[in-house]
Order: sequence, then C-alpha cells, then structure tokens
Amino acid sequence: MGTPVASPTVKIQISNGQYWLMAIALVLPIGHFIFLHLAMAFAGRTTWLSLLVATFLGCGILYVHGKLAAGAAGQSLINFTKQLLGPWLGIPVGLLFILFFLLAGAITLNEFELFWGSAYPKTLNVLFPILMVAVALGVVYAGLEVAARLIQLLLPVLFLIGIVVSLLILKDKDMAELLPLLYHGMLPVWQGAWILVAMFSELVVLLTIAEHVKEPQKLPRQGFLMMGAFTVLFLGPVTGPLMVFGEPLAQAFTYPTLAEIQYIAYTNVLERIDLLGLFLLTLGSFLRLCLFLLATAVSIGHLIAAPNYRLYVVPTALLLLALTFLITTTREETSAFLTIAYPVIAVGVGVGLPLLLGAISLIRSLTAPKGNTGQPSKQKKVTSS
Amino acid sequence: MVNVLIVLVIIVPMAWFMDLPALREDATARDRVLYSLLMVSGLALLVLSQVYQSSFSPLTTMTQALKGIGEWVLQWQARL
Repeated sequence: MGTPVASPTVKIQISNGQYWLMAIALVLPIGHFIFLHLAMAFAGRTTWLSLLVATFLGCGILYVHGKLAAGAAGQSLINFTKQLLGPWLGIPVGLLFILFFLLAGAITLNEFELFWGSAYPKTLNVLFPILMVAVALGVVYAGLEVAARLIQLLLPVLFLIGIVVSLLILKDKDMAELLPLLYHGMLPVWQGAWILVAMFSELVVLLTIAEHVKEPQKLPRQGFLMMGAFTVLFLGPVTGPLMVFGEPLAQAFTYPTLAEIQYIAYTNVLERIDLLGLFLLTLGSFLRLCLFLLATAVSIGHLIAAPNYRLYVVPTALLLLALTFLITTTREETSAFLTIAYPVIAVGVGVGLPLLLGAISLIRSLTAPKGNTGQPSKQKKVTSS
Repeated sequence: MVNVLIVLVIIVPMAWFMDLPALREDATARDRVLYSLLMVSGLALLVLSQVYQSSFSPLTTMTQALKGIGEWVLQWQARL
C-alpha cells in the first residue's frame, strides 16, 4: 500500500477537539441528507422543535458517554465492558456493539450506493461502495491519528460549503412557511425527535477510541457544548427546505438539503452549485465510513485481546461489504427500516447499553469497600493505534 | 456473481500485501485462526448476499419483526 503506518507499540493520543470533530463528521453530513429528511416526514414545519427536543435528550446521551469514557480509566469500550461484566456476559455485549457498528457502516454504504446509483444509473452500483471501502481501508489501516487528522483537514471544507450555501439561500427563505406552529399537536414533534435521538445515539461509536483522548474527564462537560454546536449546525438544514419550498414539497423530496442547494442560483455567475452538495454527501459518507470501520476493527481486536487491530481491518472491510450487499434494497424499504427499526436498535445500543454499564459501574463503586473504587482494574493493554 | 469478483479483485491483493507479512511474522496462532475465520465468514456472507439478494431482505425482516413486537406490546397493554 505504501501507507505510512505508525509503530503499533506507540501510544497514540488525540486531542479533545479532534474527538469532537470526529463526532461532527459522524453525524453532520449524513444527518443533513438522511435523518433530517426522515424527521421532516413526521414533524414537517415543526422539525426544528424536534431538533431542540432531540438535542436536549442528546445532552444526556453525550453526558453518559462522556462519564463512561472518563470512568473507563484509559480503557476502550470493549475492554471496559469485558472487565465490568466479566468475559461470559462482556463478550456477547461487546459483540452487540460490533454488530451495531457493522450495521451502521453498511447502512451508510447502502445510502451512498442508492444516492450515486440514482445519479449514474448506467454504472454498476456496487462499484460505489467497493471503491469507497477500498479508500477507507487505507485510512483505517494507517491508524487513528491519520483518520483524526484527515477529518481535521476535511471538515473545515464541509463547514465552508455549509456557510456558503446558507448565505446564498438566505434571500429565498420565507419565515411564514414555519407557521402555524404545532398545527398537528406534539406527537409529530416527538416522532421526529425520536429519529434524531437515534442519530445522536450513534455517537457511542466514539467510545471505542475515547481511550486515546488526552483529557477524557472533560468530555461530559464538553458534550453539552457539542450539543449546542449541533443545534446551530442543524438549525439551517432543518428550517431551510421548509422555508424555501413549503411543507408539502419539502417532505416529498428524498434529499431536501440537496434540493435546497440545487435551487440556489446566484445571478448568472453561479447558476448551479449542487456539485457542492454531492461533495458534502460523498465526503461525509467517507469520513463516517472510516470511523465505523476503525471502530469495528479496533473492537474486534479488543474483544479477543489481539496485540494489534490492524490485522482485522481487511476482514472487517470484507464483512462490511458483504453486509452492505446483503441489505441492499429499495429506498422505500431502507426508509422504513431507518424510521421504524433503526431508532430502536440505535437507542438500545447507543443509550441503553452505556446506561446499563454506567449503572453497574456506579453500583459497584457504591458497594465496594473503602479504598476500592469499584472500577475495573486495568487489564493488559491492547494497542489500538 | 460479478459483485463477488470485483470485491475479490480489490480485497485479495490488499490482504496479500497488508496482512500476509504480519500473519507470517508477528501473529499468534489464535490471530491466524481468527483472521481466517473472519475472512471465510466475510466471503460466505458475500456469496449468500448474491444468492438471496432477490428473495430475502434483512432490513424488511427486522422492520417487520420490530413492528410485530410493537403491536404485541400495544395489544398486551390494552388487555391490562
């Protein structure tokens, strides 16, 4: 490959900023294109209220994740689970996390395939996920630090695109399209929020690399700030298509954000900028895929206490591709899955399991004799970078 | 089956150049066994995905199952 690979014995550290940039890369682009559309289908013009409810609940999710990362004493999610629950229960729970990461990665690839497949109907659709996995494989094989730096490098470009789009569409927005408020009651707001909570639950994947964060004790507090940032970052896409096209049309679009970008025509100089939208989705899917691939390979390595996770990157990529082909289906079926089944799975694994681990850890520390914190002792370290 | 072939054309050289040296030199016996197991599972799943592509949809099955559970819970709640 010729990829520079850091020595597996070197302990890699990433800054808290890089950790949160990874969180943004994981949620923001795919949220714009997939989850907001699903939430909008329920909540319509009150999707922004769903977003506020979801970010409020998201604060709790990130707090639990942050506390777990801080309390894991430098251990990864899988090692912490194994230590806390013991091997007989810890390994099946660890496998649940791994299966969820694989499923989320496969859904990302599936969505990417559906999107580009509709743009290039004459091209063999499977080429899109295969090529993306091939590139992501190189990044993940090079290690966590490379993935973190890549995200640090590319995310500002995505931000810039977002700001440009927001400014250019400003003149076409009509605030009156957001009224009347709560016309259909609170139920659609909750339904939309449920979808967005599922999206935030996916952030559990970052716990697999939280052991490398320089200051994990700051993560719970920083989680609140991050949710504030997410609210700001999502507020434009949540209200934009509704204010530009109106509720019925915005709900009918498969990709409302892309439709909004396609609508932009800035005089005769800049007639179409939808290429930026395609770039946003492709790059976002790629960064997200890198994170899920990395998390799955690292978790497999930790589950079997392997000395180096890199050996499992290629088999993980193969499993991911196979799962993607297995779940390849129509857009309607994917949307139904993401609306009905996926939130239950995501919240179960992303919130339920961390809450359970946190509760067990807390009970242990409360019932432990004085001088013993009840936290699992550090087991033999497994290098994951 | 063209999908399987494309995947193999990309994955096999990657495994050959990236993993084979590590498997030969550093890996333990357990690593080798698990590596082989994962690769075989991946390939089996890949072939299965092509065989059952048109007749079985895991996403729809999961959706229907969760819908069924939800309906059962609602019925159970109504009985109470």
